Amino acid sequence: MAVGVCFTLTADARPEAPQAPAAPLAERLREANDSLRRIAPPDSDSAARSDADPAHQGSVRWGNYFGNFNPWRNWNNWPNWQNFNQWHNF
Amino acid sequence: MIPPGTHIELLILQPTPFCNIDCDYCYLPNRADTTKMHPDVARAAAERVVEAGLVGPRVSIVWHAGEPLTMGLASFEALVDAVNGAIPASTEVTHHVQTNAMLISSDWCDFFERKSIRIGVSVDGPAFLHDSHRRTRSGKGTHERTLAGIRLLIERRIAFHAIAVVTGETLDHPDEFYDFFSPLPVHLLGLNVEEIEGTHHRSSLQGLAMKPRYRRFMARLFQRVQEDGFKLGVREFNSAMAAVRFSGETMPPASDQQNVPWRIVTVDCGGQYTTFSPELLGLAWGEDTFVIGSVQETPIRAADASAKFQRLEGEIAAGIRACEAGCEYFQYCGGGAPVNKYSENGSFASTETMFCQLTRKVVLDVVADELAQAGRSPRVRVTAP
Repeated sequence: MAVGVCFTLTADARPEAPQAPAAPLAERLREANDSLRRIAPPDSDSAARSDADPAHQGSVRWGNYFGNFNPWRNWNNWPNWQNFNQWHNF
Repeated sequence: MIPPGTHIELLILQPTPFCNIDCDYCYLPNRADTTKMHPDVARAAAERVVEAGLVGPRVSIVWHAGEPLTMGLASFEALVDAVNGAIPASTEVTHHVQTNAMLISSDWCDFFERKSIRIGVSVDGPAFLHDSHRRTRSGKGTHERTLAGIRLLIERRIAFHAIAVVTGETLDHPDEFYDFFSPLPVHLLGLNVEEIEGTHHRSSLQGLAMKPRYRRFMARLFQRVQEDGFKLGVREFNSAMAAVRFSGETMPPASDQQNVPWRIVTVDCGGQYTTFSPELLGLAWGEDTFVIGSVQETPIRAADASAKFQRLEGEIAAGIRACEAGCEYFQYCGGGAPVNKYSENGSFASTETMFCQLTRKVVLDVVADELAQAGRSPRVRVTAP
């Protein structure tokens, strides 16, 4: 009988995040950026892969975190950030 | 002086102050006033920005304040046509309407399609949250009628985004809030906090205790969005994700559309106008107002040279400098929204507000921490092939 194992990354159930972040913002954003690169490497397009994709069976299914959403493609321009600072009432 | 190359991004036209409902958190004055904008005023507004050289390759016209659909279809279409007729054909014009959706009909849908109008619907989530605040003047909830309008948009396959006002009550119900929006085909959900501004002098989100509650709400909402593979686009999360994605790279500081002059021009139904935060129009400034001209009488370059504008610009610039000097979030915020500084702190030359704490700082904190945590603690799940 053949047995296969695959690994899927999911977010852990975890206690509530601390209310007052200790590290400076820039450091926390860098850590988040590093994390983003581990979860969905920008050069692999893995974030858009489906778990059902047979070409990647047996590999680590990082893409589970983002489903079919590719953060590198969808957030790939700095003006996206500027949307934050557009007038918000429409 | 208006710097060369300055282009208006939003021309906000208030077609009527009147609103058919009476939300208890609304900041707009005169919501019972049924005055309507005349097409000549709409045309003059467009002519003023063209004449000032502010119109670039594209401009967004935002019909907002009061409920625009109470104008009636024929009157509203006349306004849209008047604006379009005054802007050169070389400029791409996009019209936006923010509506409570209660008056949407098949005829309105035909019009939205005919004119390629972009629709934003104001809906606060499930009925028990929405109807707590968004009521008619006789006190009835409006959720059912808003949903009827949304259903019509969906049937007609007209794209829309949603804006939800988050109040203190919402913070206890992140799952119900998410479960309401996640099945809807909204292409983007924007979260607006209940602000202190205009005629709304207190917010249910005020106070030190609210910041951790807001943070818990946003963290839970982020987790739900993530668990569903980011199928629901949330404006705040998308923006913060872009900030994470570009962190470590050299990027110019963000600038807030509201604190750079002439990127927004707001015109009321009678033709009086201002720039910076749209909500300033209608507010008192000591014994005066923030009106700096009339579209029928005052060229924008004349308004820009006026002592009143210069004073306003100077005070807002002082506030931006103070934010830059003392806030690590400045790179991502650009100095904040003038109307919130003025309404909360009594001065444009001030810094932190409840608005910036909740809509910038908490959002960035939540997204950065959630992503960092996900990378630190992956859980390996063994499944059958």
